[in-house]
Amino acid sequence: MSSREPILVVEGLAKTYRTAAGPVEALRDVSFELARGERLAVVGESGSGKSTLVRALLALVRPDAGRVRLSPRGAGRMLEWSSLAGRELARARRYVQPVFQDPMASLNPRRPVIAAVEEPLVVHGLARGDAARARAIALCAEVGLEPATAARFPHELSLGQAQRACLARALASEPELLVLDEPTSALDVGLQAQIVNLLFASARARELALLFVSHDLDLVGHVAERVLVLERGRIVEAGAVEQVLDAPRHEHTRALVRAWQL
Amino acid sequence: MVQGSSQRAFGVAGGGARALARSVLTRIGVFLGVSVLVFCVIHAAPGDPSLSVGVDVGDAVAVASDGARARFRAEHLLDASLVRQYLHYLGPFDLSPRGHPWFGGTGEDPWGGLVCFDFGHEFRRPTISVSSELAKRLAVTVPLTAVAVLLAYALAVPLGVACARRRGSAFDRATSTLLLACFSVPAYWAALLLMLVFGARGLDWLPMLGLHDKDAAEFGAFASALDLARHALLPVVVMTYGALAYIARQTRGAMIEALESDYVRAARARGLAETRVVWRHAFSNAVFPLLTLAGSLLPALVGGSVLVESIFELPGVGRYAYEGFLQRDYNVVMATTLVSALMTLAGLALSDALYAWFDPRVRRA
Ligand SMILES: Nc1ncnc2c1ncn2[C@@H]1O[C@H](COP(=O)(O)OP(=O)(O)OP(=O)(O)O)[C@@H](O)[C@H]1O
Ligand SMILES: [Mg+2]
Repeated sequence: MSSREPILVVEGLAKTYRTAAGPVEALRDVSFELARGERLAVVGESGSGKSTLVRALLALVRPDAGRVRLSPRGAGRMLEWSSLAGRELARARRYVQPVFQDPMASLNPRRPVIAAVEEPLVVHGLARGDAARARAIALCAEVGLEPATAARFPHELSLGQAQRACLARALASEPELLVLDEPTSALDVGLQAQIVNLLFASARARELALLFVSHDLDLVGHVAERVLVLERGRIVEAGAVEQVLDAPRHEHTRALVRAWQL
Repeated sequence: MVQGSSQRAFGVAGGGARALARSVLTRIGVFLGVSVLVFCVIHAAPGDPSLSVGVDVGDAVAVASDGARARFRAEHLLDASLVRQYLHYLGPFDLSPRGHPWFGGTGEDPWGGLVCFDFGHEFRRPTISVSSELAKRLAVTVPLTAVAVLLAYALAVPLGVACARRRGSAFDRATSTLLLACFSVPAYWAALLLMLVFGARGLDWLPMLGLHDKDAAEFGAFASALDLARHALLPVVVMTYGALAYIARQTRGAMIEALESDYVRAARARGLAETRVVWRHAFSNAVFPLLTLAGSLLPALVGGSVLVESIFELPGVGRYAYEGFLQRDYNVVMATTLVSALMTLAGLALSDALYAWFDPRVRRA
């Protein structure tokens, strides 16, 4: 928030998909800020544009309008994130890393998970050869994966282990913002708690900002400091988590909360 | 929005010697089943093999004498029951008058039958063994088919990948339309069209029939290679374009699925170079269903060779089968069909092997 230095500043973001059935406005005039080390949740019904926002923040989707600025400590200055391209973009990507919903689908089935954790280290020049392998093993250990487990292929892991591997991979490039799209909804309740605690611990240790999408309002209440509510691509409500969840002002938020309490 | 990866839907092929034995036995069973089926079909087909005894191809006016025909029918058991005929064909005992003494034959020239990989002799030219003729024919068909397959892959894969990368662009749409058009053009039509355009009646750029020029014997090494290439060009094109269109479509689909997957998204988000994302992460996953495609493509191409070789008058297996059918030469028809069946089964086995080799889930199971 304003008292803290922002890592992410989003202004007037808009994205329209052109489909055979006509244009779909997935994001309209989305603006918000995220402070260093802050934990922000994005909620909204299915199709409200959460994943599109995630992809825009990961520079996987080019917005039609608006700008996203990023100011990682590592870069030492404000980056025009949404208009970076080529080499510059590739280099800056290490500061923003994703964790997706389905851990199995987010790991290359043909490579051992340790290779996935090692790759960002090498690509971003953080370590090489044996040093990279050692760092990767340490990262895996941090998320609770033993070296023998990390040497396996994704299909040989449990869902929880796979999501840990995804987290280790995301942490490898020393990011300052993690963008998580329903990171626990593929897991059962026990695993959810483990992954969330892990996420918490890693984030706190690194002053890592988290932006996560979730349907699970209990989880949101537990993890987030602030919440954004999206409805058909627009932010209809934003505020501190207690305020938004306990005393929702917008009708749509109220409907979401009511639906969750059922 | 999670993309269900189709690869995960595959069951894991069981490992171990028992599974191998089972699949080998199954294939032998299928092979014998095919032999019974083809045997019944050609014997049920109208036409009498003895009519063309001692008669050369295309020489329709000449007809063998009644005596010769009767001798021929007796020698080949053509008046015996179908079961007896099949057992005779299957071997290892020759049931014909000149066959095994246990079954009343003279034993002078017994043949081993199918179980000994003995395809017998041609009806029309009794001195020629079908196996040796088949070997000569395979030496034409196999290289042609191999070139066609390799060419199809070499062109289709980059094309499919390029389309997937530019999905929805003008390039992609134009290419997809063209490929679809290619895929729906019948091979005989394309062959005739190409012959009209490039042959003597059109531009006269290429020879149309056969594999060699009539004076090829006098050519040097380079000239005869060039001559062969010029003769083979149109047949190879006809054998390639359909497979090319098919493989390119499959490549495009598999690549689009891979490029839409979360692990590719994550790879992009990691800041990898685009070529590394496309080839190392997406393609390495997309390529594996494409390779298994090769196994099922091969038999289709072997089947297509009947048409291509007949039209271009190439002395391959396909044409051999065609001639065999025309003359009701049961031994030739059986041999060519069974060799095709064998290739089909080998192709499928190859698919399985590639599948196991390229999929870590199977390999380590
Ligand atoms: N690649 C695409 N092409 C066309 N339309 C798309 C594409 N991706 C998303 N959309 C559309 O954009 C809208 C927002 O989709 P998005 O995936 O961002 O929603 P979401 O909030 O993540 O939904 P969910 O909770 O179901 O994951 C939807 O109407 C969706 O159909
Ligand atoms: Mg979504």
